[in-house]
Amino acid sequence: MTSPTRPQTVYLFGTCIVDLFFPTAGISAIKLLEREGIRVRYPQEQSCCGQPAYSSGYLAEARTVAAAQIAVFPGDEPIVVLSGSCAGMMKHHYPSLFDGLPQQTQARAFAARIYELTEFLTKVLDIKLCDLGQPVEIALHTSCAARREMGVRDTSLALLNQLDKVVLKQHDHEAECCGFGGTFSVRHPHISAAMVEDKTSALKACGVQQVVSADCACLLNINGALEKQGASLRGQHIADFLWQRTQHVEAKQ
Amino acid sequence: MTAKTRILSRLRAAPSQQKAAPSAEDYAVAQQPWRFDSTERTSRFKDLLTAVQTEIHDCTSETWPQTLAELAAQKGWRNLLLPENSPLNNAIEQTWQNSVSALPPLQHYDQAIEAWREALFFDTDAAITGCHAAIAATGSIVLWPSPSEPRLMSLVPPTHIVVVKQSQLADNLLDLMQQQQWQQGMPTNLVLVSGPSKTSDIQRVTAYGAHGPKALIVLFLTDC
Amino acid sequence: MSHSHPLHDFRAASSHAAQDPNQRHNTRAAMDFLMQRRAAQFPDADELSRLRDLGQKIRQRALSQLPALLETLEARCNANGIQVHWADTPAEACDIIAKLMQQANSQEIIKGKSMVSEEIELNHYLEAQGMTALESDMGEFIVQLAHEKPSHIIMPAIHKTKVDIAHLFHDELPRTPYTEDVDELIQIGRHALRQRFFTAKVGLSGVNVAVAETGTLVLVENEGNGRLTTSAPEMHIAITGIEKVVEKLSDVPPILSLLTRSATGQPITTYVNMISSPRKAGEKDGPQQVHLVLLDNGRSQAYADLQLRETLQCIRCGACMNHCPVYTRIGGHAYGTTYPGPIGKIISPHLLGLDDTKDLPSASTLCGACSEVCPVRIPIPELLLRLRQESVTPENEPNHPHTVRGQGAKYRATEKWLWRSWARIYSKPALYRASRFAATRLRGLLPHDVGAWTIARAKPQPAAKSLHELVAEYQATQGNQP
Repeated sequence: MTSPTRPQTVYLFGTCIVDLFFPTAGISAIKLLEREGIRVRYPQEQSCCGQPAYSSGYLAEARTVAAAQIAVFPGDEPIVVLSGSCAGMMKHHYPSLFDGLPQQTQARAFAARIYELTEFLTKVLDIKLCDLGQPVEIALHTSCAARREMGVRDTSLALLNQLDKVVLKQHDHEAECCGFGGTFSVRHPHISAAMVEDKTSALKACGVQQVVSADCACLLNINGALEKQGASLRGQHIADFLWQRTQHVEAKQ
Repeated sequence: MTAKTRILSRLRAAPSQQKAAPSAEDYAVAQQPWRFDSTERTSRFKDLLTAVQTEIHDCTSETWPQTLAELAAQKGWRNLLLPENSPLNNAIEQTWQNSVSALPPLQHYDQAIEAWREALFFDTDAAITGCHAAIAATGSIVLWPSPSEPRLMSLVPPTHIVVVKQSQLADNLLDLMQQQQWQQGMPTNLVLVSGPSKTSDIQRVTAYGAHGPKALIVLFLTDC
Repeated sequence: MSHSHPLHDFRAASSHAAQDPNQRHNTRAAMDFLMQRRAAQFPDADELSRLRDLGQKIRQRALSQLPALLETLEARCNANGIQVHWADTPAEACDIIAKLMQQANSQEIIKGKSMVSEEIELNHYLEAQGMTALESDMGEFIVQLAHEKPSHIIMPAIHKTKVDIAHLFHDELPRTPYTEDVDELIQIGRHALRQRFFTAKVGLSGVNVAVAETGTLVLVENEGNGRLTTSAPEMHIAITGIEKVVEKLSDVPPILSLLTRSATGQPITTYVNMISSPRKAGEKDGPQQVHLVLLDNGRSQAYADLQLRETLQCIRCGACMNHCPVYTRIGGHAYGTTYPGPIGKIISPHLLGLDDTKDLPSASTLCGACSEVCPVRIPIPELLLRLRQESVTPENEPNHPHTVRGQGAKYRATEKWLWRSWARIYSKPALYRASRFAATRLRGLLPHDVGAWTIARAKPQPAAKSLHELVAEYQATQGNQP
């Protein structure tokens, strides 16, 4: 498969969780992209992909929010999304959300432009990273959507494997869900608590200094649990992690 | 309206959907990966059976009755049940007749079960049958019971001995089914046996001899 | 809805189970074991993928022809001497079975393993009539002795340790010494059931696959009790859901391969039993009568909707629950349904109504671990999403086809209003900006305990400035256009 052609400009979709809880990940992503010579547009009218309503069964409400996002990203530039879960929503569920409706064609065209961040950096930009950070051992937590819906665990790995002072360690039951699941975490709090308890135990047990993830929904969940447990371990979005370790490399001309 | 009418009319009222039957190429995944050369076919068959505690003895068409007699003496069976009439019977009866040491008496399954149920359930230690075919892919023996070789023979006595010929060994179930055109006429009961009875229901620990035979012994005839 | 017990409180049961360390430990160990066993059977990802495609095709083909195939199955069975009965509801099915037992002059029925018989609560029905149903599958025998229900569709006693079982046998079976040795325990079970197989006049089994082409019932098992149940008594009754039929005999090998490798990680089960008729003239054993009961019980509701129909592809392997992080945390009993785990969540609303299973569709993070291993590619997360939609769409919603009994079970006007408001805020940039501002500037005001979230997590802390603000500032310093 040939890699997609390199665009001059992309849009960035931050996601509502990055917006409110991990905004630096958005800035790091912009800087990573700009350093590759890509112009990044960030429409200020963007908000949320609509998944919270969608996965609760409220299709009309999800459509309202989805349609608003589609309207805010005109043209045909790629849309780079900072979460496998939101990217999956836009890429795989927007088409069916508008099936049989007037916006169907538009929704499909929009869905075809979606890339998850690590996917874009690896497959479109073929980014080369130079590790200027300190030696560190990390664990990678991959969201279920990134792993199964978007198939972008490999692209996170490809990026991390380029960092020669980073050792990636496996954690127990690595492929298992962290227990966030959006409203699941509050509708079924004890089941969710049990899941995040097991996930954080596994992360703590593998002896790493840091957790990295390409999905801030998981990080909100995992970091919240680690903090409540009084642990010092925390997770960081992969964009922040990559930028911090490579930021003093000169930009391309 | 009967339940049948209600159910069928509900199903027929549902939207219809065309779905093509799988093609021969589609079925190939259940066949091609499971074809073996003759050496592998035999070794795979035996390995899979042995892995689940089946006892396998290599014999020839001449030697198997003697092997059977030795096993009978060794294992202390109180008796040995034979089919009513079977190609196996003559050779066994001859060997028993010619034997110098005492061997367990031979019985024949020559009456309907109703006539001797208690004896079969509680006083029959071992039964010997032939087989219809065998399958290498899964280490299985195909039993095709008949009036002469009834189905409880391979199920109720705690030991089942089965004579399997090399030539009966097929690669996989689908190939066998298609070669022999099973769909043209299925017997009352056809069974694939792939070892002695077992269960892992207690804490996932495998134990043998749950309800079916505790011991499965294969006399494998290498020359026919 | 079941008449025999009150509505199950899934929230309470699952919360309780999730906080039970023994249950968590046992279930985790059991699921890890089953997952490893399955993985070892599928070393070749390409073979697995193609076999799953074939499994999906076989099941979808059969479902697309279902009414015709059921009639063909009945005709073939009848031609071979198997009598076919149809049951719309659990009560009808139980009644058919009880009448057949009476016909055979038998107060007792010995059971092989049948999840459908659990679904119709046969044992309870028979007991109310003064009849007995005796389980012979070791796992089912164990749970019956313990007066419990099975917690897993393949390994019914998976929630019990050998110590539990040692005590159980010693306490409940006459003249039985205490032993924790598994071999000895199995011999105790074998011995206890032997006498019952000897005397049984009626045996009941399920059906793993029913073949329309030949009128054949296929059953898989490891213990031999299935063969005994279907060969030793004078009457054999088989019961199955209407969806379990396949078109051709050649469909059986791929389905068997998927089933045994997915369920217990075996290339094949000890016995594969194919039954096509009762005892024929001249044959010396086998049942004189074989009966097949075909049960609907809500399956036709799933059938009526093309998307929900995919639920019926299931071959009951249990792989979905083995891989489910929710099942792993709460165990099978917490669901309160015959079929637990992911398949339980998508089939139970059809069998029992969404109103009686209203907390099940939301009890999932939609992680997809189930659909990743489903041998017939049922898109379980999609079906859960669909059931969630049906749950919150009120019954009188115009232009919404009424496909599922109990539609609107989770509809609450207040919740609908909340999501509408949410959608308004998130679709109007000015409103969203205001809510962002509130969240960031007032973040210190959020209480430490915000209920459900903070059971296991510290309170969420919004950043001081949102990404929207940081980008505006960043682009201003760069002299960029947004």
